[in-house]
Amino acid sequence: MNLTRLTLYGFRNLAEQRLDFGDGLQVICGGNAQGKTNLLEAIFCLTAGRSFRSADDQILVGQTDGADEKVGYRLEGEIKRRDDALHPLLIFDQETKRRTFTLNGAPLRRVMELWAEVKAVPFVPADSLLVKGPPLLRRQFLNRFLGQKSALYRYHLQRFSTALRHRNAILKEMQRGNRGESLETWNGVYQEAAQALVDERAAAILQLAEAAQSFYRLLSRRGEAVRLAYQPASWEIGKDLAGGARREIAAGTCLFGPHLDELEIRLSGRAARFYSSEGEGRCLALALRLAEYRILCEDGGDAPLLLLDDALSELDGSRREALLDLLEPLPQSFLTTVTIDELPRRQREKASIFDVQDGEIKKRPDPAG
Amino acid sequence: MPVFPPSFSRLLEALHRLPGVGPKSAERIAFFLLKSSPEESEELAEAIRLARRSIRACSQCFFLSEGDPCPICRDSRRDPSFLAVVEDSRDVIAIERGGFFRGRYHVLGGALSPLDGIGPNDLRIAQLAPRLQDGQVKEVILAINPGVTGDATAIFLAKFLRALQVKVTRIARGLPVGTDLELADEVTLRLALDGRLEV
Ligand SMILES: Nc1ncnc2c1ncn2[C@@H]1O[C@H](COP(=O)(O)OP(=O)(O)O)[C@@H](O)[C@H]1O
Ligand SMILES: [Mg+2]
Ligand SMILES: [Zn+2]
Repeated sequence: MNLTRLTLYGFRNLAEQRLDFGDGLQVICGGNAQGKTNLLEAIFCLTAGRSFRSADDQILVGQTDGADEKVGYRLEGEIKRRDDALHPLLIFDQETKRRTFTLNGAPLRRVMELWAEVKAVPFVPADSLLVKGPPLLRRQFLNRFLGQKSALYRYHLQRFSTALRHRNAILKEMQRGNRGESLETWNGVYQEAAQALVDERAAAILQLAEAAQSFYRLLSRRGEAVRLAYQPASWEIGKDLAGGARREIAAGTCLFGPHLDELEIRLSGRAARFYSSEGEGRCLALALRLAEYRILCEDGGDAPLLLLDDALSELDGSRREALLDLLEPLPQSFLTTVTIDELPRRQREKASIFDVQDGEIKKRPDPAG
Repeated sequence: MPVFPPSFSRLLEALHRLPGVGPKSAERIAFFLLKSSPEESEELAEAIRLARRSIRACSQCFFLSEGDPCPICRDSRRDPSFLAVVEDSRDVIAIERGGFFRGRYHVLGGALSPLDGIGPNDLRIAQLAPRLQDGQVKEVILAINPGVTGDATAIFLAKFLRALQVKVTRIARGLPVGTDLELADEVTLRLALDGRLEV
């Protein structure tokens, strides 16, 4: 799928403007703190329903020094797919703190409904936390990846998170000494959804590991062995639920289930979370994102949007070329860079280039005329 | 900030408490009532008062009714061998609209929802037992909504009812799940496959 148009208002430091994007590589070029990441963030918000760096909509609203205070932000886009076009519209109202999200004019009840229609894979420098940060970030990665890949996963994820909240409420009551007449009943509902998530994760991680290894080989200097080890908080959730009930009641919360899973990443046999360097972490994260992208493509639908923030600066000459070669055949991809010199001439000539200065984004005229 | 007269604010607040009525709609309704004739508002107030006074839960099935027992429980042409258990009076109305179900009902008054503090004792589950005592009911049909709380309620009821030695069935899941068609198709298909019947 291709983002053909984006209309911005009140988002971060970005000026109110309409942008038209082309096919293939879209290079976003500009100095530090000009708004490159903000632009990718706007695209991601509109396609995923939330930001990749802030959960708080108020932080996204453009702050100006006095004069024309923004009443919120508004993002609108046009996404062309093989057979149709989609028009997502996201509005955040600063005063009521309410967000409205519509797709082709129809309101979305849940953000996840969007994931069925529009797919996007981002990579940002902060993604090194995907490797070096807490397990929560890797679970979010898995949920987002599988949530885009499978309708059944979305269905079970939504059921699981509801069942989790209900089961926690029962355990809290029991911790206070009240009877939990329906605990056993809820164990059943909880376990069914939990098991479905665990099974889908286990299968997908095998696919992910293979793809991540090949991308890491391509992008890192030494190409060490990458292993992904799925560590479910409980393989046999049923057994643990029965046996662990006493501990769970004492804790007043669920102690077993996919909301506690870990996806361990190993590099040359060592846990990358603790041993990898910042650079290795970034490179591994990029490999994981590209793996996510490739697997989402394999499902035969439209290819997702690929949003790469500052992905070249960490790579040396030949790895840069390798990454750019990967991007070349894609229907559309976005890449930010501080200087266009990071791109070899061949790619520069084919790409659409946008210059960002102080939130103003301008398309560079086509050299061919 | 405009300041409304206290009686107007009270009206707004009362309207705002109604389900599905936000602050904007509350304002619209309140202005409409004040602009329309006094009789119009009187009629609305009277209709609410009368409905509140004369409608009660049927003592047998707990469906909302003006008489007790309700017309459905009183109707001797109804088949006493089927009992449909539903969450809410609205579900009775929905099934009755179809006109194909000839048995009787039992309204639970909600679904299990620990998050809202609703456990088995907050629903009319125990009240099912006396209704099954005379052996007339041959099959209890759980016409409970799909979804997490509905599923939990159905599982709980199935266990409770099996102990009373009655046949228990649950209505099939064939309706779209969610509004997203692509998603609904795939998931519904899978659920329908899981719940397939031997022919
Ligand atoms: N809500 C906001 N309103 C106005 N400016 C913002 C807001 N949030 C961030 N900024 C500013 O946007 C600028 C550009 O950010 P960013 O897109 O991350 O830069 P870069 O081009 O280096 O990727 C920064 O100077 C930052 O202070
Ligand atoms: Mg940046
Ligand atoms: Zn009745």
